[in-house]
Amino acid sequence: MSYSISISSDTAKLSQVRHFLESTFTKWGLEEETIHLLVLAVDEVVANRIRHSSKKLDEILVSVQHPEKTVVIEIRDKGEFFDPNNQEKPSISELVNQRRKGGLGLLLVRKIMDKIEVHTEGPLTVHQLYKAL
Amino acid sequence: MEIFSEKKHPFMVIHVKGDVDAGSSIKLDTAIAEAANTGETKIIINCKELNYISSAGLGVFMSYLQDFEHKSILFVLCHLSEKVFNVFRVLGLDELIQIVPTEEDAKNLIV
Repeated sequence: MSYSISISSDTAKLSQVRHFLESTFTKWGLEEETIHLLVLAVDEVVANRIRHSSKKLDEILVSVQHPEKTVVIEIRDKGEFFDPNNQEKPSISELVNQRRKGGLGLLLVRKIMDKIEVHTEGPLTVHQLYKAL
Repeated sequence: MEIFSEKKHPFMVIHVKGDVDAGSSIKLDTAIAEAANTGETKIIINCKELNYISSAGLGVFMSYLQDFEHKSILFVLCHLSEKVFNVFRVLGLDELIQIVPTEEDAKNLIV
């Protein structure tokens, strides 16, 4: 069974996604620390989509599924295709030296999730995040 | 998210309340920049009521680390919940940013 929420492309709406995920994961009986980290990873991906897409996104759809011993989160929007797996992996010290405010989000997502897949479906870019429990 | 800066001579204590995410981190950035620009040299970030932080908030802290080190500005975080501290730990930022249990501990760093 899949649960979903749709938000407009606005960082002020990120808290709605976090609340939706927290309540769904709590219902599923996930551990508090796991819930927090999964919420954080999704928050990072959605924030990146909102902040860095040059195309108009209109809305972002976040859906979650809980097949046996796994959580799968899908993020769909009309932004351009971007595969975080192809990005450089800066070290923390590089980010500090460059006084960069960005770059940390992707590091967090990589550390928290087991797998990130990105594909397109017609006009949509779909990010799939996987976490084994 | 709410920010409240409180002068407790010789410290500037910045209280952060609620969620710091990609939408609200600019307020945190502004508060720290204001403290530094007005000549504060001992800045304490009190996170007692900080419920959530994403990379946008972490990035704000990190962006000041080098400048503050060069200018010998004390920059300390305190009262982090276990949940918030865990985000720092996941990235190893707990080793780069000075984090202490309480505001008193932060003040004792310069005594």
